[in-house]
Amino acid sequence: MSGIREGILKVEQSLQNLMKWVLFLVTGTMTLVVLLGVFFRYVLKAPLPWSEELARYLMVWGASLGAFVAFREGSHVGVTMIMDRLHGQTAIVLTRAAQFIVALFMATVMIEGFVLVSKIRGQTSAAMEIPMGWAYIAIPVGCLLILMEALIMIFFKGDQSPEKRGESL
Amino acid sequence: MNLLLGIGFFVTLALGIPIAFVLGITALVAVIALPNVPLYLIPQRLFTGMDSFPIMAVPFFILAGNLMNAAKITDSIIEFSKLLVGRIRGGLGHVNIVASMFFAGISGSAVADTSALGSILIPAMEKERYSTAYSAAVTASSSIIGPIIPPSIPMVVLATIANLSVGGLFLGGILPGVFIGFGLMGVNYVISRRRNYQKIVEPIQWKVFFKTLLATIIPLLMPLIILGGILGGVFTATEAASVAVAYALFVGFFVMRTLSLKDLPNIFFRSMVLTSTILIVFAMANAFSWILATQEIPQKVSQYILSISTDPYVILLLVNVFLLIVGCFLEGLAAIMITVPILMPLVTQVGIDPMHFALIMVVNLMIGLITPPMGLCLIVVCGVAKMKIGPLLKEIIPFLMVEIVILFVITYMPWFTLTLPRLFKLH
Repeated sequence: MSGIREGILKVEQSLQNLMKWVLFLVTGTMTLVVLLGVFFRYVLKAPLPWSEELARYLMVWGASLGAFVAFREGSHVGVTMIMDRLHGQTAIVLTRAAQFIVALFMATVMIEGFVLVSKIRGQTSAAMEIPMGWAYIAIPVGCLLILMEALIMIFFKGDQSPEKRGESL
Repeated sequence: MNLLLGIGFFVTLALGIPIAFVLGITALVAVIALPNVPLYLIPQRLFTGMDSFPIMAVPFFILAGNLMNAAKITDSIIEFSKLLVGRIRGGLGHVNIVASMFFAGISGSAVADTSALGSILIPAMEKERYSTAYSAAVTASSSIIGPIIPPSIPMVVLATIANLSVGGLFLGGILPGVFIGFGLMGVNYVISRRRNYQKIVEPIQWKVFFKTLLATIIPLLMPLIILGGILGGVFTATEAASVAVAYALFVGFFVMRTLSLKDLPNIFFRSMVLTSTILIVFAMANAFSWILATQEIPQKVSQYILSISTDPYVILLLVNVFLLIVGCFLEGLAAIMITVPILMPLVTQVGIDPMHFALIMVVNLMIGLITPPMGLCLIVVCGVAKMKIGPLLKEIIPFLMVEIVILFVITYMPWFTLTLPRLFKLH
C-alpha cells in the first residue's frame, strides 16, 4: 500500500516539475506571439491574421494547467475564516467534504468538457483554421489534473493541508 | 431556485472552497436544476470566459511587474523616495507611501506591492525605532494604491466585464491614487509627531542623487509607455502590456543588468500560475453570471433597491457601504466579477456615470484588502513582518479611516475620477 502511495506522489511531483517548463514555454510563446503581432501591425504595416488567436488559445491552456499548480499549492483564494477556527475531527471531516465536492465538480466538468469537444468536432478556428477541439480540450484536461490532485489529497496526503494561502491581488 | 443557489453558494463558501470553485459549483447546481439546459454549457462558458484578448493584459502586467521586481528596481525606487520625502518628519513612513505610489506604476497588484516593499522597508523602519505593527500598517495601507494608479489588474478585469475603456479607467485612477497617497502621508506625519518618529538626517550626496534618479526614471517610463500607447490610440491595452513586458526585459538585461537568463523560466512560470488563479475565477464567474442573468437576479436586486430610493446620492451611499462589507469577506477581484453584473445596471438606471462608478468600485474593493477578516494585504504583511494580526489592526485604523473618507469624497466629487479621462476624450 505504501509503495503505491509513494509511487503516486512521485508521479504527481514530476508532473509539477514538468508543468514549470510547459508553462514557461506557453507563457513565453504567448508573449512573443503578441509582440510579433504588434511589430507586424505597427512597424511593417502588415498585420498577422493569426497572432491574436494563437495567443488566446495559449492563454487558455496556460490558465488551465496553471490552475492545477495553484490548486496543488493551495493558492486559489477562498474564505477560510470558519474552517481555520475548527479543530480535530470536525475539521478533518469538513475538509474531506470540501475536497470531495471539488472532486465531484471537476469530474462533472471534465466529462461535459469532453462531450463538448466531441460535439464541436469538425469546427475550425476563424484565423488559423485549426480544429477548435485543440483549444477547447484545455478545459477538461485542466479539470482532469485538478480532479486527480483532489483525489490524491483525500486519499494520500492525509491532513497535510496546503500551507500557502492567498497569493493573489 | 434562487434559495437553492443561495444555499449552495454560502455553504460551499463556508467550507473554505476557493471562490472560483464556489462560483462554478453554484452554476453547475443551477444548470442541473434548470430544464432543457445541457450540462456542457459549463465548460463552454469557462472556455469563452478565458478566450479573451482584452483580459490577456492581466498576465502581461503580472509578468512585467515580476520582471521589474526581479531586476531589483524596488531598491532604486526606495532610494529615490528617500531623497524626495525622507527629510520630512516620519521620513521612512513617507518613503514607504511614496514608494508605493511609484511602485503602483510598474505593478498592477497590491499584494505584490506589500511583499516587495514590506520586505525591505519594514526591517528598515524597525531599525529606526518605528514599531513593527506601525511599519506593517503603513505598508499594507499604502500598498492598495498599487491597483488604483495604473496599470491595474482590477481595472482590466472591470473594463472587460463592463465594456468600458481601459485607458479611461487607468487615467481616472491617477488622481484618486495620488489623493490617497497624500492622505496617508498626512496620517503618518501626525502620528510621527506624536510618537517622535524621526526623519532621515544623512546629507544628500548629489552624485548618488543623479545616479538614483536615472536608475528610477528608466523603469518608471514603463507606465508612460503603457498609457501613451493606449491613449495615443496606437495600442490596445493588451498590446501595450506586452510591450511593457519587452521593456521590462530590456531594462532588466541591458540597463540595470540585474536580470539573468536562468531567472526567466521561474518568473514566467510563477506569473502564469498567478494569472491562472485570476483567470479561473474569471471563467467561473462567466458561468455564474449567465445563471444570474437567466434568473433575472440583477433586475430583482435593482427593483428592490430602487424601492428604497431612486436618489443617486442615496444609492451611492448604499452601494458603497454594501461593497465595503463585501470587501471584508471576499477578495477584490472575485468581488468585482460577482457584483458588477448586478450593480452596473442599477447605478446606470439612476443616472450614475459607469466610468465614475467603476473607479469608485475599484477604490472601495481595494480598501477591502486591508479590512479584516479577509484582507489579503493584511495576511501578506503579517507574513512579511512575522507578526500576529491583532496589533496590526489597531495601528491600521487611522489609515483605514482616512481611506474611507477619501472614498466618499471621490464618490460625491466625480471631478477626481473623471477630469483626466475627459481631458483625453476617453469619456
